[in-house]
Amino acid sequence: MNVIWAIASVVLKEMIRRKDFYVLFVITALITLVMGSVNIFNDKSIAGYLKELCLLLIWICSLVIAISTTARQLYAEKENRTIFPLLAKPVSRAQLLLGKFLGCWIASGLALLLFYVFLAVIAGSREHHWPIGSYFTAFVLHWGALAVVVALALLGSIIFAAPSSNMTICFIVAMGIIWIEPHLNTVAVATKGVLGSLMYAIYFIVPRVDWAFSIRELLVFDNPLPGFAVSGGALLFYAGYTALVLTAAWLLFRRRALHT
Amino acid sequence: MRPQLTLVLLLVACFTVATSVDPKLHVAAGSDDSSALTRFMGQGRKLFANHFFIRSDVYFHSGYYPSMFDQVAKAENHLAESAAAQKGHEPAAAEEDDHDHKHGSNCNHDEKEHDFLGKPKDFMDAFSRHFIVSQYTHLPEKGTNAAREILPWLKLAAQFDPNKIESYTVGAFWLRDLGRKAEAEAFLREGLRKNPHSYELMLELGRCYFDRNDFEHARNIWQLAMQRWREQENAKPFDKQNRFAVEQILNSLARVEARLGNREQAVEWLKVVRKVSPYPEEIDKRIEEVRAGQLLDSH
Amino acid sequence: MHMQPILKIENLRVEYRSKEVGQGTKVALKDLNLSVFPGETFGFLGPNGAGKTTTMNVLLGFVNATSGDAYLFGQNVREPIARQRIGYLPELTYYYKFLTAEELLRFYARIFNIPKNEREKRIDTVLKLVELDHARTRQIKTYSKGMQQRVGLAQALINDPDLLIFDEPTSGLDPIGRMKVREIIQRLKNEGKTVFFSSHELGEVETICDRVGILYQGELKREGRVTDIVSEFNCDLEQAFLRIIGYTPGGATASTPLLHSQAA
Repeated sequence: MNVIWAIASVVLKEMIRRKDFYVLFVITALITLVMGSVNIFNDKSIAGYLKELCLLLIWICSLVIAISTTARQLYAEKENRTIFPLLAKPVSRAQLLLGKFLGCWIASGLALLLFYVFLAVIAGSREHHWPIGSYFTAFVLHWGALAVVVALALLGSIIFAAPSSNMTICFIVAMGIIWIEPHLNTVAVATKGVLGSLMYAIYFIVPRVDWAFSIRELLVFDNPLPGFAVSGGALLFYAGYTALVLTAAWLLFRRRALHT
Repeated sequence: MRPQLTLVLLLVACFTVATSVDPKLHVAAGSDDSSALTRFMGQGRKLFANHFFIRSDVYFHSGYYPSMFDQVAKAENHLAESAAAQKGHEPAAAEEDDHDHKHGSNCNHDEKEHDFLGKPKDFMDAFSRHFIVSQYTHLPEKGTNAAREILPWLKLAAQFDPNKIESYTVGAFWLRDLGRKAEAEAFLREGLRKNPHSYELMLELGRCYFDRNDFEHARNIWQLAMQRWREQENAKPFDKQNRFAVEQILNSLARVEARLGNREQAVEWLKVVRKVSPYPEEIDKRIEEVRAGQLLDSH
Repeated sequence: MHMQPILKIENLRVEYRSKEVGQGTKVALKDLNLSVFPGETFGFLGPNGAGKTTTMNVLLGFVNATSGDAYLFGQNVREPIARQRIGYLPELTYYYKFLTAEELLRFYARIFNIPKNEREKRIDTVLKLVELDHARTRQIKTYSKGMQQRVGLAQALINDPDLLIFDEPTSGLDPIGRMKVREIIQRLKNEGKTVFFSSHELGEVETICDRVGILYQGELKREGRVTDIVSEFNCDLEQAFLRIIGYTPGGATASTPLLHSQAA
């Protein structure tokens, strides 16, 4: 475990010392503040559109951070040859993967926390009430969904040679799941034959990252968020899926030859 | 120093070309709308305007809104029902017109009619319902001034497409509903500046005047609206005319004449309404009310 | 010697699928057998492409052997625990540029599970040994090549290893840098550490090493004490090396002009 945490801490240090995250946060903050400064019929207490915009930006930025941070980890290790002195230590391939996953996931979580705090401050300044429980539930579910995304990006970094192709494919998959997956069963039911069955199979197989994304609407319209049992079930689902993907990544990586 | 000098010279050349070519292009395009948005986005801004307008409807329904997949499925079901009905010679179910909601009519629709989600198709679907808005509600029911959340989308829709009349009319309706009558009037005037011949906007503006008891102004603008309606709609076939709007204008004129004490003129207007209204017996009742000296309710 | 070898390679065979069409597999190592005993300095020699790096890659777990086994301290090299008591210095030294030398060593020390109280002492010792104490808080991206090489040495020594594996440790260094590396290897030897390194600098191998192994085209052509090989061929190690691998100076190319103008 010490080895895994040590590797994770290096990933965290890298994220803190790189400028990407700060740029994304500044962009999110700027766009939200500019939109917030727009005069909507002299009413300064309208918050819905601002929450919606901010949450959308948070989702985009969190996906960018999660995918780009993870996609370059193994590639950079191999390109910069830092993987060799690392694996020459008593570090197994599984520990390396887990350490990278944990580092990227925690880094994404820290960035996400800052984004949600910003959202709470902005929304609270307009609505004058802070549904901390709702924001916390949304944050936790979002972070859980990011675990799946990070695991997928890590698997992609083993399959694809270039991080750019890995990032592109991960984005497409994540966006596809978010926008199409919730409706895939509707379309599948209406489609006859093998194609319909295939679509239904895909509907059950893909990870439901869209659950965490859909929470946005509940936050925007001040609807009650899912309780402990449901949220716990979703988090367990994400954890199971993450474990599955990481296992697949390990199976591919453990025998991969690394030439100095 | 040479690369920097080249860059500066290039920038100056570009600026010179742009400033000399731009007015000529502007004249050639023939557009009198010189907003940066129009010039930058062209007609593509209308897509955004439509999206924002739909977004306002989503907000009105507190997020409970069918996706395009649900709408396609609903349309297909409706087609199937119609086909089955034609085979069995039974009348098909009438399609809902959700746009009635925007004008604040009391929503008496059965929740079942709006249950586009239907029963969960599988356990995954059932579990997913916890994470989406799955209750049919209206935003104004959630609390005082809750409807103000709809306004930004209507303002954005109007900015992106100033020719989209509904953005102004619906926005003004909600502003009046929230007691923001001055803002409603200002918004409608802005819309009229961009769309000077729009009878819908004149109708709404007349309502603003009526609300603040400026009946003369209200009558004038409703008469102008009637004139514009005749100019734009009379040439169309009867079934293509906007009879809903003309009914509204005529009823409003009848109301204001009744308020001003001109009962006979009010009755005349109601007689015209009777010709186009699907409920002539209701109009007969209103005519009797006016003759009895009662002021007409808002319609 | 009756001691158990610290490093043992048994019938190691490594084959790669050739990237060229119709070429089948390429054999990088052919049934290699090798042992290195505690306390000795072993030089692993061979021309480019002989299989030295492949051997090291197998020992360090970067590459899996097609057949055969290798052991470090009696543990199969496939197990990460086999690398608990080794230090590795790669030929090309690259480390996390965003870390300082101190942070890098702390990271590696954590991986070796060195207790916290001992960790800082070890870092201080090692940084002083490689003369990087003055630059310990600077990020590695600001280091010169020589300094990066020394960081590499520092990370190889952080766990006070019993076996050091160096891949061409003096490659790319200036004469002063090469001398400093030789001094460190000598010092490690005096401390009783086992050193296993590959090199093209036969002069320094002859000076430092106890035993050498000469690899050519994936086969171990000769293994033995430096003094034995030198006296057998009655020449220096370089000449002996060339004879062992079958290289004849000026052989096939003696009559072939180097330049077209010479032919004219």
